[in-house]
Amino acid sequence: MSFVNLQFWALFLPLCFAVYAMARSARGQNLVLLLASLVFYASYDYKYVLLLLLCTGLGYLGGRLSGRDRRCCLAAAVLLLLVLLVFKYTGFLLGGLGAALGFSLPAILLPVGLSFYVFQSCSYLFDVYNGKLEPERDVISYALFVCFFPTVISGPIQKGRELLPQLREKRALRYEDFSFFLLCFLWGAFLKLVIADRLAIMTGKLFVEYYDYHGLVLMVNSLAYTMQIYADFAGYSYMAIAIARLFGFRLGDNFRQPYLATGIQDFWRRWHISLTSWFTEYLYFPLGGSRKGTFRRYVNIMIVFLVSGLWHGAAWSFVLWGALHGVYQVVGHLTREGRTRLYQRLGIRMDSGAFRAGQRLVTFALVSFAWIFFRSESLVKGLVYCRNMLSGFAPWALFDGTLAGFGISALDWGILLAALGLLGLVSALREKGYDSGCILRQGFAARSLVCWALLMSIVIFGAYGGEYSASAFIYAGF
Amino acid sequence: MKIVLKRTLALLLVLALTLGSVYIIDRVLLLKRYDGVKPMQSFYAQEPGTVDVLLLGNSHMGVHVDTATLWQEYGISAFALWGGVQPMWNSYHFLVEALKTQTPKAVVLEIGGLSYDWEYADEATQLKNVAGMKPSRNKWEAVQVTAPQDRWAALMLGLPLYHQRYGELTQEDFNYFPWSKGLVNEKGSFALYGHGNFDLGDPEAISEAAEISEKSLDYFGRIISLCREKEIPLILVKTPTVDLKRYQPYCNAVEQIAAREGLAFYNFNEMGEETGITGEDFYFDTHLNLAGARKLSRSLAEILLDTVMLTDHRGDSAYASWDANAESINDGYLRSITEAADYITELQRGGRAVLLIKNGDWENREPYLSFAKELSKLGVSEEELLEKGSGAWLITDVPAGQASRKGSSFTIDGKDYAVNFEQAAVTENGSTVYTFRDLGITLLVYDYGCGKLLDRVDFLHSGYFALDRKE
Repeated sequence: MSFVNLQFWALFLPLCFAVYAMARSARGQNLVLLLASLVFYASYDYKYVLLLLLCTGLGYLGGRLSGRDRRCCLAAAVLLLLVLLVFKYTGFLLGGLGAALGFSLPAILLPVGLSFYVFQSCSYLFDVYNGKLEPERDVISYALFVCFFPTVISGPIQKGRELLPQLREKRALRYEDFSFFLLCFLWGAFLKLVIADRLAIMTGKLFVEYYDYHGLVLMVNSLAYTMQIYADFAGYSYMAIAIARLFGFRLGDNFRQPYLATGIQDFWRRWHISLTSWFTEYLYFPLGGSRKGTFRRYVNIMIVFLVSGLWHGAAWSFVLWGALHGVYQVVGHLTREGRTRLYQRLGIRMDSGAFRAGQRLVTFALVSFAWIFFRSESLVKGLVYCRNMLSGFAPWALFDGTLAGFGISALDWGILLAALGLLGLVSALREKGYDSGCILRQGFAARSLVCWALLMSIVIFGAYGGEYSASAFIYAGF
Repeated sequence: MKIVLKRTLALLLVLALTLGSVYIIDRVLLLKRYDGVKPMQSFYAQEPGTVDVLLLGNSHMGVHVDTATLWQEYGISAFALWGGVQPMWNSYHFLVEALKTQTPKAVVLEIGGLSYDWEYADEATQLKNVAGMKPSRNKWEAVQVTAPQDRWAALMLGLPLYHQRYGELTQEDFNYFPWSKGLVNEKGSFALYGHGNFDLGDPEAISEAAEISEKSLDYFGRIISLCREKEIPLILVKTPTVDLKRYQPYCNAVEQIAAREGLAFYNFNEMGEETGITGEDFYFDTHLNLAGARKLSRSLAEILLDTVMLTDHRGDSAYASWDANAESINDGYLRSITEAADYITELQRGGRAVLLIKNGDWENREPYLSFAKELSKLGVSEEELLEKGSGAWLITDVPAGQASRKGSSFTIDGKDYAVNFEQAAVTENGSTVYTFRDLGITLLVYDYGCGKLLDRVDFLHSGYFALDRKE
């Protein structure tokens, strides 16, 4: 039961909201949400509810026992990371060994959302360990912090010091929050169903059959995936933030126009902000960050991105994806001065719009290239994909109908381009400071019209229903 | 309090507008399948209490029985409520739906649906067998028995399964609103043009009885019970098929059930002499063409008239839609014919005027001699057609009616038609409506029912006279 599932928005969410609205205290509200969250999680795979509860118990105990010994927090965090290691990396770590020694390991299914709720629990334990947060005494509040259904599957990863205080107060149900929920949820659903799932039809095919294609077709496909993963994950995040707001919670942005970034460092300030923030606070800074000299800084950057790659998936392709982003940043730092001198010598104004546009283009291209390895089924397949993409340019593929042969008709391409145009416009406006508040401050009729238009676009042009099996949210797989 | 009330009202208004929009979108995008969906949607448009004979079943019922023949030749107001590959459970729920507004004097059930032994049909068939139904408890029950649970919600709503049709919309898609006219003129049956030449086997050579699946048998029983409860005579039929190997064992099984239940069962595979259906009356091995359907319908009409007290409604203005349906089927059929001999045969059914144009000087030798003989069946003498030079004739009532003398100006239904051989054009009230070939035979068919030119065809000489229709 995902956010774009009929049962979710027609049954689960209204029912949950109705019961929640009847709760008279914060504890009552939390209990309702906790039970709903467990039901929601069980709808993915009820067997793993036990694991979720085990991780919740570990985090809670670690925090409570920290009063006696702060190291209990670290011990609990290590145990949680061990759970993650066992479920996510056993095959990756021991698969090669097994092959060499002639035995095969039983396949372990990755529990949905494990990476997210383990990291969220760890952030709580690290904060308690560092004295930034008092241990949570109320087991229901803590359990809800970990299991909260809008975030348990794919984040945004919450920090205890941000979410736990909100759990202690009774949340009022406000009309403004409902308006925000409608707009934000519909926008998220639009990104997911109209853009991401339609692009998924093409990318799903071409990332499997890439060996039959060359040049521009594969380039367009990698660009399509670049937009798909953004629309998919940002769409999910918007919906998660919207649902949380419906229940009176305020979660921070998880994306801030990442493809308008002017550099890789800037990109990571805008992409999956909750994860970047986690790595920065709990890995990069403890490693010394940039305080221990240039070389250590570069080493720390590489460590963070390699771990980030592994966090996304237990495969060498993810490691290379992380490494590429690390290398982009290190090379960017190393060449910064030289590039600046070159621009000055060439008389290029670095504060001009054209220069920024160029930076955005280069950043976009670098990010897009790295996504190839993120999406490829293995490192070798990713490399072959790149080789094919860079051989045989074949620009006629844009005009001879080839692109309409991958499950997206010419009309659907038109719809996609219009939807991407709208996404671009919204991104540009947000970059200029016009956020959802600009619409929410409008009159009732204008707000309703925007929501109506989004809903109708989804109903008509969304890739859902029988012919399409709405692909699961990409990040739910991590 | 005032603000809360205002906001609640505003939200309700927006909700109503949104639901209204979704309803309109659903109507437009609804899959307009000629089987399953369209028959059910058309059925809803029928005046309550006007359907005397309800024809239920799979495509064998929808294609093999011609409601136009039943109406035009016997005055029987029949409706074919069917779906392709429709299993018995969907036929049952169609019957439940039908009995909400109609009180038929007889239900005719084609038993071909009993031959399906699967639990669920394929996904496309599941959709077309429920998508046409209005939301109701009956539809919900139909959905539950039609598909596995994970498809219930989508099938009940329908829109999730056909919303991607936005790329294939036609004018027809905008005619499915409650206020749309035209659906009432559809009576469900579907005509096929074209014929093969199949050997019809001997059904009596197959004596074994098939084992009918439990699910099919259950719903077959429900149909029988429901008809009994409503005191509607149920007539079981197996319409002709070439595939006797598959269907005859089911006919044998049904024969036993029918005897046990005291029901009438007509296996038309064993009634070739009565129906006159031959291998040429098949469109392909499992379906009759319209010529075959007309023959079968005549036999069925005789059975119905012998079994049930039916009123001849012809001429009753309350049943005018059956006239329109017959006209639509016959007109559509004429326009789909691609062989010259079939075309001339079909024109001889009457009800139309034909403007026959002979352009060019045809030598009196084959193949024109034979073709002139064929054309003379329309009402112009062979001698006139063999005269030297070009000419045009108006046959006001094919085939027996009066033919106008050879000329260039004619009047049909108060409209003036002129044939200009120099420009090879036909004008209607001064405007060109057709340009014909330099050397050919042209027929312009005027339909009195719809009051306009129905079809325009040329016959071109290419070793023989082949029918050619400009797109």
